[in-house]
Amino acid sequence: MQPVFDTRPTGDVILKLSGKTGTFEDYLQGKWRAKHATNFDQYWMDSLAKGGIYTEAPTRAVRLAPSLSRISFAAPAASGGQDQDVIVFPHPILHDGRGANKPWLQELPDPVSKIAWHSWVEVHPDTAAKWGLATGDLILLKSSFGAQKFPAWITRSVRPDVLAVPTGQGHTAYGRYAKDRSANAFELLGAQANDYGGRNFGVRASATKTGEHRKIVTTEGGPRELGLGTTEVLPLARAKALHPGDHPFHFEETPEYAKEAVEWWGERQHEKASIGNYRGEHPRWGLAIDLSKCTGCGACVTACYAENNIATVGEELMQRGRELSWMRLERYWRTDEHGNPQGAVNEPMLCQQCGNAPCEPVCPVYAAYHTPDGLNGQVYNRCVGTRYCSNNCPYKVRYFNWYNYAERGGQYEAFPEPLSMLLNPDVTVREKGVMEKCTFCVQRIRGAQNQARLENRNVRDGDIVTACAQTCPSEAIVFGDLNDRNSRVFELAGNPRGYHVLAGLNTKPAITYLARVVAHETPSHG
Amino acid sequence: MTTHLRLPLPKPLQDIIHPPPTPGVLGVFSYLDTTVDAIKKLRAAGHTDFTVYSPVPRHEIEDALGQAVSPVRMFTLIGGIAGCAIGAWLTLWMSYDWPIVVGGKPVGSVPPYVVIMFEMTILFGALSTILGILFNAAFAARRLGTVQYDERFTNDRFGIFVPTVSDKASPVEKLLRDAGAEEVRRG
Amino acid sequence: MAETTQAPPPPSRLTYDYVTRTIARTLGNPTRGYFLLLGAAVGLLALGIITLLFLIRYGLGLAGYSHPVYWAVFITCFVFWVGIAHSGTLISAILFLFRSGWRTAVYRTAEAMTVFAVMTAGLFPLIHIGRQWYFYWLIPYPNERGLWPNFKSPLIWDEFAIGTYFTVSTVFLIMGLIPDIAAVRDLATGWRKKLYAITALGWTGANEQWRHYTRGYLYLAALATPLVLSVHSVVSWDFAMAIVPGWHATLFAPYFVAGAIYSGCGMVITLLTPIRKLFQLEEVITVHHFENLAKLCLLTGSIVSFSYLTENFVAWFSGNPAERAAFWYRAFGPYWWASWTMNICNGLLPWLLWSKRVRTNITALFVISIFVNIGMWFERYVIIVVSLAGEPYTTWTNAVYNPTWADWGIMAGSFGWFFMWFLLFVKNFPAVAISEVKEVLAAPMRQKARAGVQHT
Repeated sequence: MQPVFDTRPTGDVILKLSGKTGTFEDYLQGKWRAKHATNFDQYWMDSLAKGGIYTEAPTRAVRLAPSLSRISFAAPAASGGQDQDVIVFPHPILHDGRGANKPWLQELPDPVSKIAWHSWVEVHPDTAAKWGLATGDLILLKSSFGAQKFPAWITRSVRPDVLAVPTGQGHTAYGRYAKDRSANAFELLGAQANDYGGRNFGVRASATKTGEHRKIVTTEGGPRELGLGTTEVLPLARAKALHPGDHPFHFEETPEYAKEAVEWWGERQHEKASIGNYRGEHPRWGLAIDLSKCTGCGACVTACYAENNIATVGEELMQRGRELSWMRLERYWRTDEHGNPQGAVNEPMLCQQCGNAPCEPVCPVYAAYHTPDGLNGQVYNRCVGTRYCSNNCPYKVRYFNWYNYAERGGQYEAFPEPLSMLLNPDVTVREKGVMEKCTFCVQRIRGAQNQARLENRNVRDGDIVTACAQTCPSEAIVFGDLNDRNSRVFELAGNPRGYHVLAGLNTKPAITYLARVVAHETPSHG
Repeated sequence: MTTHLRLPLPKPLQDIIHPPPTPGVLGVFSYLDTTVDAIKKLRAAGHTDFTVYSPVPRHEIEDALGQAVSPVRMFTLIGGIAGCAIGAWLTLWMSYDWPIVVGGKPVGSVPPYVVIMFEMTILFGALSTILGILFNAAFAARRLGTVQYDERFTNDRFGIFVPTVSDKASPVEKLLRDAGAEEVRRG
Repeated sequence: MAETTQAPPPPSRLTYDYVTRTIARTLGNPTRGYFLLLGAAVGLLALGIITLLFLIRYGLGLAGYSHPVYWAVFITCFVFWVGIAHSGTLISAILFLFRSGWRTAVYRTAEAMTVFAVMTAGLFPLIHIGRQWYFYWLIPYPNERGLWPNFKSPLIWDEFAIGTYFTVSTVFLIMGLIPDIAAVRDLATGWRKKLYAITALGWTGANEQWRHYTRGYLYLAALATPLVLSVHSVVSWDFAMAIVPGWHATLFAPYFVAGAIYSGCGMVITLLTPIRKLFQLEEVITVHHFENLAKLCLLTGSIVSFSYLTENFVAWFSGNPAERAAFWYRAFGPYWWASWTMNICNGLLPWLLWSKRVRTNITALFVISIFVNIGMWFERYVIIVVSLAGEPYTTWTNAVYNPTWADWGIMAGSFGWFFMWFLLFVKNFPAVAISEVKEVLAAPMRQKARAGVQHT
């Protein structure tokens, strides 16, 4: 890679300062070559691939100490007076704040609160009712070390006697995306190391309602599950009893007397439907997403931003519901009869690449159309921006460019220098006024097809990996050809846990979700 | 006597659009029944080639004149059928010229195209009706703009213009006056 | 024409000459009030144009859109103005075919309103699209890339329907105007005489002209009648063809047509009341005409209320959870105020018109007509914005939408644009049909005994 700015590696600088010639790389390789002269190039490449030189350690048998069971924890002392227990926890995305200057990470909503671009304090509804708090009311937390103001996020995911604040925000410097953004939870903590050499992340603080208010930037939506089959869970006992070929989510609601007529009609419709499809042997690209494996971390979302040149829109526009995340993570609580969360189902929601896509026929200029390999193509250059496709999309996974986010010096510029270097040259940067959506990383599909053609072979299962699938740490996402009977995605699509979101609308999605397996059924899971 | 305003035009347009007036007799009537009476008398006297002015369309005048039904209806019919055909051609040909599959539907789906065909039927039918009116009234109506005219004809008077050469004008004048014309002019 | 010997003689002042002069007088020198109104309209239009320039330069983000509310105030205004247009054609074409004599005094105003309302409505699809400068891609024009539009899209149907409607209603208006322009031409002086001499297309009232004209007018009316019913049906299919709960209903076409005529009659009353006063047309446009308009409002308003009931009943009766959720959200969600404005203005208000005292009280009708306009605007707002905001399929993306200055700026501009054309029209062309008003008067007869009057 060419140097981005007028810079050089640290090693080169030291060499230069010490008056030696040559690059640091040559210097380093020279030193190691002296130790491993034989087959050095292979040795070097292997070490780079592994990230270091490792030797196998001898295994040792270990046993739990019998004294372990005697360890007990004292219940936290009840808070007395005004003082409140406050837990400071590392932000799942920004961590201690080292990620705060990256717009991709700032724009990625927190996996639980779904809040982006700012910090918050989690308050239980009972506590909020006691204090007369509404979501977004700013609370001043004052510990013996410092004071900071945080907007309240009212949630049952925290105990009534505890407030919880994430770290990560409130930088006074660091960069344009991190500076002066919300409040720093570390200010509440003491600098003193505790007995175990770490820091205490629990602290006693007074909480005062300031009377100020801010709008919470959250992507959280309404949690109504209307029995339409958006998210599905299976209790472990039921999941264990499933056999291949079972379809627990395939509801048969046709009454006996209507069966014949419905079947006849279905057959006619099937014939009709095939008229519309392209002739010939084509792949049908599909995705399988295992909700049991999904942790809701959001890595897929950011991977999608990186791969597809998706603009980050910033705090103000995100608050107005204008984020462009082609892939979003929906977090539905599983709650008991009192509404207390018993866990969550995280569901990555992206374009379902429907076989009978409702978005396609409504486009007046064919900007949304069906490709022969079963994708819902979106031709940015042809799009005039009527937005009808989004209205007709039951999954609401189409996103509109309200401004020109790539405009140099524009108010909402998403790729200011040097972030423009992040742009993927295989993907268009969209203009204002066009619709965009998940393409199943069509650039990777075409790239793999071209490569296969050059090598005079067919595309093999696994040649194409979408950015989300590639990034998913738990490998919950699998991409492949549904027409290939030997592909992994075909196998997963036939899994008894598999279901299609809103299958009742007859959109024939290409994405199969595998229901989340949970220990016990809850009255509600969405 | 003043005719309605005429814009001077360059030659030869002036001669084509504003030819010199046709000689004839113009009767001005205050009443509908006298006008109808005059029409009947003129027709009885063998005149077929005269113009009747009226501020409103009246069936009495139409009946007295015994006119055939206007050919405008053929314009409407042909325009409508042509519009429907154009609508069908537009939608089907264009669909197959750039065959794109959307929503699992056939490339040429007739049911949605019926809407376009219907709208085109109306559009072409209406436009060709307008053309029919303009064509028939402006071109087919003989001597339009060359006949005698009076500005009261668009207000509250009826009029009859009978083209005649001057030596045959006297009986016509008498006929009109007898029928009840309040004013008779020769031009 | 019904002739009876017993009929009372017509009011002596209502002669052909009186009608011509009374109506021609409306074209007299404009007053200061007129210029003030025109100035206000042009000012609003300027506001709209400036807003549009901002939208084109910076993007539609200036308006209040929020995922997933991707259609909002602009499409609401589009449907509102198309709806307004409909009553004009109803009065001029459908009532013409029904031989309703009372239409003659009001149809010109209604028809002019139609043309200008369609002109206004037609701008909104162009303004609301993301890349306004590519609007012509929706037109099937031959191009070197061989690209054609998608005729399966209801938006293309819309384009054809609105385009046809605009063309046909314009020629219909011009056609009706020709004899009247000739009438004012023969009274006018100066530059106006020149204007009317050109625009009258050489009309003299000769029998050959009337023969083709009356036939042609009949066919135009016969074509405009199915057209007007089709246009709002097609507009309603923009919604009904989509799968959004609250949009996807077979009821939509008749429901929208009735709503359109209801709103249009409201707008006709709103416009006629001041025109009648300002131009002193009390004798030509009588309380009787207002009462008939009010009856139309009552009829169509009742159909609209019935449609509301049907929608909600079907949502409940079908047992479809998505439909139920959508209508629950409509009535009791964050936009309850919009829904209840709509229900009260369109569902309850028309019931006042059962009373003859209200129907014949022009002040009361004027006030009601304003609320009809407001109610019908909110109906479209509810259908479009609220259905999208509360879309129950994807529970995760429910948005709360708020219009911004850009939405209101464009909407104000549309009112400016409409009223500018309307004011220019009523001052320059006869706002009441001269020849057709004469047509329903008794013709002047020498033999008075045979004279009759048509019951209007």
